Amino acid sequence: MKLDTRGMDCPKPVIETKKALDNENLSQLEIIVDNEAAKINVSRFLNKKGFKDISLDEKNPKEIIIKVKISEKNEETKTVLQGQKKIFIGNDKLGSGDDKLGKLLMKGFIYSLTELDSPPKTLLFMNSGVKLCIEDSESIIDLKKLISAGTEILVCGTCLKFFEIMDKLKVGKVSNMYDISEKIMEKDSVFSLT
Amino acid sequence: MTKKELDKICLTKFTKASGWGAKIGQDVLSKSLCGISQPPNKNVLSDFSHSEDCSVYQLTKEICIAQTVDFFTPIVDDPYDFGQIAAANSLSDIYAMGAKPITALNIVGFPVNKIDISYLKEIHKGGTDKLTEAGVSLSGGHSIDDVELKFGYSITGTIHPEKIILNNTGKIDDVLILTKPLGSGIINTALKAGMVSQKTIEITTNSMKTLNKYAMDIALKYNITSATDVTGFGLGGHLAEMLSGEEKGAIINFSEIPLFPETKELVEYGLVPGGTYNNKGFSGRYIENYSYVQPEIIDIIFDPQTSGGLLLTVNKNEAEALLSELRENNINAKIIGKLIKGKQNIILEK
Repeated sequence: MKLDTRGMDCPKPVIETKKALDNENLSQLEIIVDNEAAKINVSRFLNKKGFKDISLDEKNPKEIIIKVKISEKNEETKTVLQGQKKIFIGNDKLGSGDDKLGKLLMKGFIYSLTELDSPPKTLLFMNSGVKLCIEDSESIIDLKKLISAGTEILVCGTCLKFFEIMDKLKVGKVSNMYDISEKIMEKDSVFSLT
Repeated sequence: MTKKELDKICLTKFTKASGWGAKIGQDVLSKSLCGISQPPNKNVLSDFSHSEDCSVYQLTKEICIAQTVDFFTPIVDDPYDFGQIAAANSLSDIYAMGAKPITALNIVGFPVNKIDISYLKEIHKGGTDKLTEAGVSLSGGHSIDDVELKFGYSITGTIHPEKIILNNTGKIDDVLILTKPLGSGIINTALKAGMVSQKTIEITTNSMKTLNKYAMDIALKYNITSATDVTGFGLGGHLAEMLSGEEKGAIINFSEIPLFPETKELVEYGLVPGGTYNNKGFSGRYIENYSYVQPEIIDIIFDPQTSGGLLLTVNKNEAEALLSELRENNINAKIIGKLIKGKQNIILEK
């Protein structure tokens, strides 16, 4: 599809580009701009939206063609980007004040993760949090659902040993402090549940 | 017209560029004024050749009149809010010089065949209410039928000749304080694109409606060495003006600059007003480490502000006290940098 934004005032070139991209049947979009500002603004917009295959053809300062290839890969990238959250769970209760309530809340929270459009990337269990991953835990079924949806579950080995429940682990991979700290220090955000 | 009917028309859809985004760039302006000469007048203490905030004319030993004029195209859709912002913006330059505004003349361009006149009434209401808040009397004006909606005021104020606050008299080691967040140009552009939340529009609108009077009243209790208001040329452009005169430069800690919500993200989406490119073209050369800073940060530094805050320089010994008092009075002020030995150069640090 060709989109001619020559003569359009800022921010119309960006608005029209956005409208064109909302059309899901596009495989390629060519946007013609007639000034430097529009060239930079539209290019930035495309970059931010996650498109990688962008090329510029500057025939002259008043006729700059921005070509972007739209492939299925972009859609995939979008989904992966949504699921970048890593959640650190250091307790088998959520919040403080009442333990019974805390356990109920944690169960509810883990259940709610299974209802999200995109699952979290990783769940990291430490200290009493590891108890959520052993037999008799009320969250086993939900945690297994998350694994099927693509979530990685790491369970601290030192903690399992401490509580003497290593042989009771029902879901997730036994991990060590090095692996867990590596995950925490990775680029994407870690959300700590307290 | 009822409020509901008033709500239907989006004023910003009737404009090419929003607010200060429509201002003629400094380079074009300079070209148009270059070589224009007039006989000297010893009573004119400040005119357009000084890049000061207002013109200042000495009447008597103790009284000077300060004058300024500002008008622009709509930046928000609500007509009352637009009037309020236009008034606050027009008054800003008077406050930046430490003067007291007294009268206002209105300037209007209105497409009488495109928009119902009741909108103009609402704009006037907003503007007059703001002038009243500032203790200023609206004493006349001029209007024309115009293709694009424009609104603003010429303001006259008074000041004692020895109390005039200039914009380039800061001293090395003075601290720089900014009294309102940056990003209104970007937010207003995003508003036109329908890509910003209502909450952000509200926060930005409230800030633009706020008179710089309150910040200046507090600042005048301290020994501020210079002041300007941050408007069409962006923080970068106005700061460069502050650095003319005695040899000095500035360091800006851009992580300390208060920003309106969503500003960073919107810049990344390319919602940058045309005025920013003009400002970068003219004043980008003052940024010493221009090529080493993220382009998005540069765009925020040169984002044209509508009714922006005051940029003050104050002796470092009084900076914390001034900042505290501003913040205690609900003014979102921050220390954003300091003046250093230099030659009108600006260094952007994290």
